[in-house]
Amino acid sequence: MRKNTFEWFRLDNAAKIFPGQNTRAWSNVFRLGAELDRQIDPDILRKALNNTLKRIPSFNVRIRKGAFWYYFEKNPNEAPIMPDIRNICYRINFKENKGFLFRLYYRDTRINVDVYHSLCDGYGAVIFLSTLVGEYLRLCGEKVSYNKFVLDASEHPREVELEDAYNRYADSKARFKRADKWVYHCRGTKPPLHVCNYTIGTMSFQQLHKISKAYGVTVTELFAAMLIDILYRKQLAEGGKQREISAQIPVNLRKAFPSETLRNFVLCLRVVINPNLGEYTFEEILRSVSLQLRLANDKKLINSLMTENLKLERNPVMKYLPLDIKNLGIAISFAITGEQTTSTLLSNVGYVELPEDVAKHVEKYVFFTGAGKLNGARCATLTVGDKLVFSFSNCYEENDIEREFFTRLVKMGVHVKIESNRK
Amino acid sequence: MSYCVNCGVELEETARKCVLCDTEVINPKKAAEDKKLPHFADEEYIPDGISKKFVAYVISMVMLIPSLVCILANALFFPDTFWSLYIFTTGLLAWVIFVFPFFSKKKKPYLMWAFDTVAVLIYGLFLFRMLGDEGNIYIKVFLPLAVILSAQMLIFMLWAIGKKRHIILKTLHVFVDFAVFSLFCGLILSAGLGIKIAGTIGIIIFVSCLCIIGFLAYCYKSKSMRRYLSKRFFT
Repeated sequence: MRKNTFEWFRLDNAAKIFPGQNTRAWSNVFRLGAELDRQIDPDILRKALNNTLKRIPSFNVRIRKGAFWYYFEKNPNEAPIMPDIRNICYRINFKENKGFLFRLYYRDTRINVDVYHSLCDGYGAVIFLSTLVGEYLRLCGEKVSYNKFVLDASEHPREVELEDAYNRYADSKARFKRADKWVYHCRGTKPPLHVCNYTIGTMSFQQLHKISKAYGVTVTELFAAMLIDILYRKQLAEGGKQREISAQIPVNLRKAFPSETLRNFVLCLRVVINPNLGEYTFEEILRSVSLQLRLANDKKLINSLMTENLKLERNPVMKYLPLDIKNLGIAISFAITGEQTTSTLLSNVGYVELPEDVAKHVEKYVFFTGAGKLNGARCATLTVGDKLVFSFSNCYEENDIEREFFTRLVKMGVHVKIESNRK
Repeated sequence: MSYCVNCGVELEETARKCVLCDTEVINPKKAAEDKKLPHFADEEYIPDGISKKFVAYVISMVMLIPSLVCILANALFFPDTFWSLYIFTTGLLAWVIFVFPFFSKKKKPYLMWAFDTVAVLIYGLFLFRMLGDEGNIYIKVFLPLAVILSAQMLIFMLWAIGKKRHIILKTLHVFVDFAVFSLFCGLILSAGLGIKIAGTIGIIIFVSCLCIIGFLAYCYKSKSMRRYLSKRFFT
C-alpha cells in the first residue's frame, strides 16, 4: 500500500454529506453489537481493538477540515473503550472521543460499537465488529479461523479495502433524476435531547424465511411491506389528507459491483405506496413493494443513480467551493428536505456468515440505524446463525408502530423476544 | 421465560412490564436471580451542550470591536464631534437587552425586565439630550410609549410564565398587545407631535389586528378548525 494512503485519505461520495448534516443534537450514527458466550474483559478488548485498528486502518482515523473537502487523517491516539450506556447512537462530536469516529462499549457479555456513517456502511461495520470479535476470542485463547467477515488481524491491510468504490464504478451516461415527493410521517412526543427509544426483537430466521417463502417474497420485502402497511393504516385512521408512504431501503452495491471496500458503498432505493389510488390490502402492498424493489434493483439503473449522486462532487464549481459554504448548503438543504421524502427506513445487512469456531461463541448480533429527526420508525436487521434481530430506532416516545409490527409477527406464528431501552 | 399476556412476545427475564404495551408481568425474576444483565444499560451519558456564557462572551467581544473602532476614529479624525457615542450607546443597549441575560446561570425574567426598562429609559434620555431636545419629545412621546410597552411586557410575563398556555393563546395575547400599542402610538404621536396621520395608521393597524385576533380566537375554540389547519399545513 502507498504510504500516503495510511496517512490520510479522501472521504467517499456518501461520507461527504454526513459532516454537513452534523448538529449538536443529531448526527448519522448507527450501532452494531455482538453478544458472546462470556463476560467481556476490558483489557483484552482494548488489545483486540488495537490489533483490529491496525488491520482496518479506515477506522483508525480522525476527520479534518481541508480548504474544499473534509479528509481522514491517521489518528495518533489510542482508541478509548467504555462501559455501555442507555442512550445509544447519540451524536458524534469530532473533537470528543480522542477524535475517533466510532465509540466502543462493553457490557456484561456484549461488545457494542457506535459508528459514524462517514467511516463505513453497515456491511463495513459488520466486518470491523466481526474482526474485533475474532481477535478478542483469539486473545482469550480460542481457536479462530477467518473468512470474508472475520479478517485476520495479523495480516496487512489491503489497498482495495480503502478504495472509493463509487468513483470506480459510477460511469453511466444516463442521468436518472429521483422524483422525491414529501411523504407521510407519524409524529409523536419528543423525548429529551440525546435520548431516543430503541427496541429489538429477536426471532428465528428459519420461521421467517418459511413465511416469506409462502408469500413468494424475500424477508426484506416482507418487512418493508409490513412497515408500509402499518404506516398506511395509521395514516388512514388519522384521517385528513393522505400522503404517499415511502420506505428507504439501502442496497449493498458490492453484490452488483465487485468491490472489497470497507468504506461506504451503499445506495438507497425507495418503495412508495400512494393511498390516493385506492384501498390496499396487505397482500397488494406486499406485491407492489416486491415488484418495485426488484425493478429498482437493476445494475444499470443503480449506476445511473450513483452517477447522479456524484454529479455535484465532480462539478468543477462545487469542487472548489470553500468547505464552509458547502457545509452551509448541505445543512440548509437537509434542514428543509431532510427526511421529508421517506416515511421509514429499513436497512438489512443480511446474513452474516461467521466461521464455525467463531459462531459457536456468538449468541447474536444486533444492528441499530440510529434514530432519525422526523421518522418515527427507522429499522435495521441482520442475521447470525438462526437468530434474526430486528431493531426499531424511534425519535418519539410512542411505540405503537413497534407494537403493531411485533404482534403481527407473533400472529404469523413467529416467536419474538423483545428488549428495549424504554423505562 | 416471561411473556406478555397481551402482545404474546417474550420479554427479558427481569422485565416488570411489557415494553410494547406496559402490561405488568406477574412475578418477574429479580435482577440478582438472572445471570445476564438486560441488553440495555441504565446509565445515560448526556453530552455537554454549548456554554451559553462562552457564546455570550464571544458575542460581547464581537460587539465591542465596532464601538472601539468608531471611538478611536472619532477621537483621531473628528475630535470636535461625539458621533461615536451614538454607536457605543446603541451597542450597549443591544448588549443589555440581548446578550446580558445569557451571563446569568438562572433565568430571572422579572429582574431582566426591570433592567431592560431602566436601560431603555436612560438610553432615550441620553439620545434626545444629544439631539438637542429640551425634554418635549422625551417626556411627551418616548417616556409614555416606553412605559406602556414595558407594562404590556410585564402583564404578558405575569400571565405566561410558569403556566401552561396554548401556543394559539400566546399568539393571540401578542396580537392584543400589538393592537393596543399601535393604538397608543397613534394617539401619542398625533397628540404629542401633531402628526395627524399617525392616529389613522394606528387605528388601521388596530382593526387589522382585531381581525387576526378574531381568527385566532376561533381557532382556539374550535378543535376541528385546528385539526383541519394542522393537516392542511402538515404541522
